[in-house]
Amino acid sequence: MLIIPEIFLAICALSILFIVPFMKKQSYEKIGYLSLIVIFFSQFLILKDIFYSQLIFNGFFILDSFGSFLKSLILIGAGLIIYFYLNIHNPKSLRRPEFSIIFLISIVGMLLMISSNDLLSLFMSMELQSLSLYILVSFSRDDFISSEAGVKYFIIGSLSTCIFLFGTSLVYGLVGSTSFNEISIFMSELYSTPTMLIVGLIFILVSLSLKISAAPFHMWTPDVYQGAPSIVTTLLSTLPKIAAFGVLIRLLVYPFGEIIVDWGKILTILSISSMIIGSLGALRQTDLKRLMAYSTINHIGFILMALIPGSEDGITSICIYLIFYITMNLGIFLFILNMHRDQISVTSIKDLNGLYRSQPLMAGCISIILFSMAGIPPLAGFIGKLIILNIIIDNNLFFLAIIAVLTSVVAAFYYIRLIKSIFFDEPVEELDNINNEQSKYMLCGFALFNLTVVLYPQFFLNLCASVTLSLFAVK
Amino acid sequence: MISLPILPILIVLPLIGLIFIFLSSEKDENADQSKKSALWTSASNFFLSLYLPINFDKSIPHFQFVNSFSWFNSDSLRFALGVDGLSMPFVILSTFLILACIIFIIPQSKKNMKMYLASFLLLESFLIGTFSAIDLFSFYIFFESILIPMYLIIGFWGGERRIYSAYKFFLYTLLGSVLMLIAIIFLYQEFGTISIPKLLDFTLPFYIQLWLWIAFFSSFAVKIPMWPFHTWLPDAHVEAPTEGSVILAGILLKLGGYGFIRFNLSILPDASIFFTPFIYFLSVVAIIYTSFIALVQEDMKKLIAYSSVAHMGFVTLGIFSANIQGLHGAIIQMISHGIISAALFFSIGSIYNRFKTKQISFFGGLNIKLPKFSVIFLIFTLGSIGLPGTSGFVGEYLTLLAVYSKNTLVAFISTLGVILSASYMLMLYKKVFLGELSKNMDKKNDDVNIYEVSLYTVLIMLIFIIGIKPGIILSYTTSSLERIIQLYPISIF
Repeated sequence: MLIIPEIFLAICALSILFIVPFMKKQSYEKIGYLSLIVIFFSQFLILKDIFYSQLIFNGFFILDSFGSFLKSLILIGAGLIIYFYLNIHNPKSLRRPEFSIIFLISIVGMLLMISSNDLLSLFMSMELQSLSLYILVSFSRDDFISSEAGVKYFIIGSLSTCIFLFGTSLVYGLVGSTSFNEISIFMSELYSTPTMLIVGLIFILVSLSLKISAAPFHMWTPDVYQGAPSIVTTLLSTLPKIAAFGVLIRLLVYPFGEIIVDWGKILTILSISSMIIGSLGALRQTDLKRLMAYSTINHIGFILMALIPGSEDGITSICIYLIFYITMNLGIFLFILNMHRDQISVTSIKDLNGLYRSQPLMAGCISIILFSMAGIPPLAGFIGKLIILNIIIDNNLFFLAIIAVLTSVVAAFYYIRLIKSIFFDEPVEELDNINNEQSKYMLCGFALFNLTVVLYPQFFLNLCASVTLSLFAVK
Repeated sequence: MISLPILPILIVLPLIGLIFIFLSSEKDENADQSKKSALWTSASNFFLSLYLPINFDKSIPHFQFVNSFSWFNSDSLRFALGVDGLSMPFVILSTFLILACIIFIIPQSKKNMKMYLASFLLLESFLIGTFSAIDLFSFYIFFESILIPMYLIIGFWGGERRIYSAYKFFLYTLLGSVLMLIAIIFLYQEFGTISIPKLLDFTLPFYIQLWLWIAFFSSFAVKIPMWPFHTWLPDAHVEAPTEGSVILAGILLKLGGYGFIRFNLSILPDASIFFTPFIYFLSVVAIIYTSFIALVQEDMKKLIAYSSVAHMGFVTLGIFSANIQGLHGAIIQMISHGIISAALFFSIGSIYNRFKTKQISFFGGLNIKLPKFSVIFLIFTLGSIGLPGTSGFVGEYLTLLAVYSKNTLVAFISTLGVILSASYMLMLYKKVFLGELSKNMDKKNDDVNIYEVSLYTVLIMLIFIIGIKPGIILSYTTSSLERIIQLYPISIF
């Protein structure tokens, strides 16, 4: 059994790249739809073997249902984003066939990251993903801000790579292998943990924190989110986070599971600072994309919290939260992609003023999603937070739970501020009406999802519990 | 007898009405068709809710009309609905006041009338859910969901500083209740059940009770509100539209008192004893201090808002004196305040609709202009003071009786509050209705219209019925409250 979906996706991406020069008229649309089909097929390939579990390429990669679950989540997100790109948001600077191809390659990177079972394969796939994302961020080349964001992202990203490599070398120096299995065996035979191993782990964790933009390694996030083309921001705020969390979970639970006491402390610091910075930093933002960056940091802190106990329930709750997080974020960004005034994209919070007057249905949908992000019951965001808090309190981490709920009140403040401008403020100039039927339906769909999750949370719990099982079966 | 799933029906019916309102394609402003569907929905919900007292078995202290639904597929996590003697009066109060609000809305026209009506129906559904939830999670979900429609009502249709007030209301109450969420999850983890009746069988160690008590207290003390957590209330009241104030004072404040009895007193009795002096202190301060503040208010609504804080001080005194008179007094005081303050806010709404101001100094000699209305307002004023024969008297009397048996000093000081309440309410009446006709009011104004007359008549009748024969409510609540008292340890306070 080969690592089929990734290989399929990579081959397709490369062959599309070869086709492009031979096409008579280089059309971004045809390539885009082709990519959509490719994503659809890879989704099929993943779902076909979702319960399959095997080490492949000499333990370089691993196939299991935990990975397959996250991968199919990524592919669903990728399909939606490509669809948004084709039908909703494609400013002139993005209308190039390369966009879809680089997008596909970054997806390959993410999928490989999740399957990695070795520090080396992890490093390579992470680089594949990151390099493609650097290009995507600075894709609108003539735009000064986009290029600046790309450079910033690249510099921080390369720093993260260096740190990761350094950590890897420390771990390799002590263990004598980079394979997760070997590390795991080494760890289980230890009586006391060597300090250098913990230092190595800290380096690796710092690098991954840079990827998931957990505070205090979040500095790049607001700038890059604001500078990147909106469609790329949509991508950045969702899919790479899933992939990085997949890596983080696999790395911490499997090879380093024995030293949970040590990394638990690090994660506690990361999670608390992310929640605090994510909620306080957003208070005075005026740009919607920048605000979403801080909102992401806050959510990341919340998710990291669930990893601290390192238990099966905790990881189940992370998976559930990720599903809800993706739907909420995609919903909000779908709206941001649709924000135009006189055909020009705008992203300021002031532009939302008085949206209710001009488009009541859209205003209602977006408010439901915002309330859900704020964690107000009975919406999906609340269910996610409830499940995570349940785990935290089960492990007697009351201090964390109290910080989590207090910061979520602060975070509620700025989500409610958005709703305030949508409903109560007088519009300066009205936004263009969304005349695109698909986005209306999709936005309604996202809102409806957030509204109805409370009726069947069991479905998500069962699904995620069954996939997490495979992660612990390896042990 | 075939058991009707009455509580789920009561919760779902307003949502169906809401769908009808959104389906009608008429334009806003007066929206007659939507008004009709809202009226029908709330009226039928009110009459359906009367099914509860008719079929209620008064001798059973436990929950009745229980319906439970699987939520997380496990036996320990089930949504459960049911009412006992404690919660049933509040369900009826909610359906009644929402109906009253909708009747009061009908002659008016407002911007976005459809959404206004829809918010009230949504609120009704959540309120009934909160009072009839008998598991912790659905209680919390309904309790918090109330914030959404209430936020919209204050922020959209309120006065000048509405946005600030809506914000303050939302964040204050959210901050209070998130700590309750932690307590709720902790209770679930500790006992493996979220069912409130089952929780009564367990006893917790004292020091854990203390923490949980503080967590629940933070939520309900903001909601009820107790001094010094009351500062959101005057703002919210002044800026909210009339119907919003009615619901806020009439029902939302009662959630706090209900929560105190249901959680702090029943589940955490030892901690309640420990904190009783603390509660006495806060309540006495609330009664005296906010009464003095009410004396100097220039805005009618603000005056009533501060008087609400003082009246709720009696409620907390009654609850934590933890004997049967005290609990009865608290329940009657809450129901009576629900009716009287609603009536006062409706009256102020009537005045506001005619003169477009709520400043006390603007008025004078209104009884010459609106003779019928001034009689109606006098009755509400006397009810609020607690004149014997009105419902306000019963609540205050029982409460003071209960407190006197526990602590004479507290009872003595809080009796002063009754005198103070008479002084500020009568002063309000004197300034607005008596004296010479103010120059501001030379315009011609109609006396009360048919909607107002019918509404006020019903409210006046209720005030007197409860005042003369409080047994019609107490007969329902007695057995449930006695059970709480039985489980309560004997205290020295």
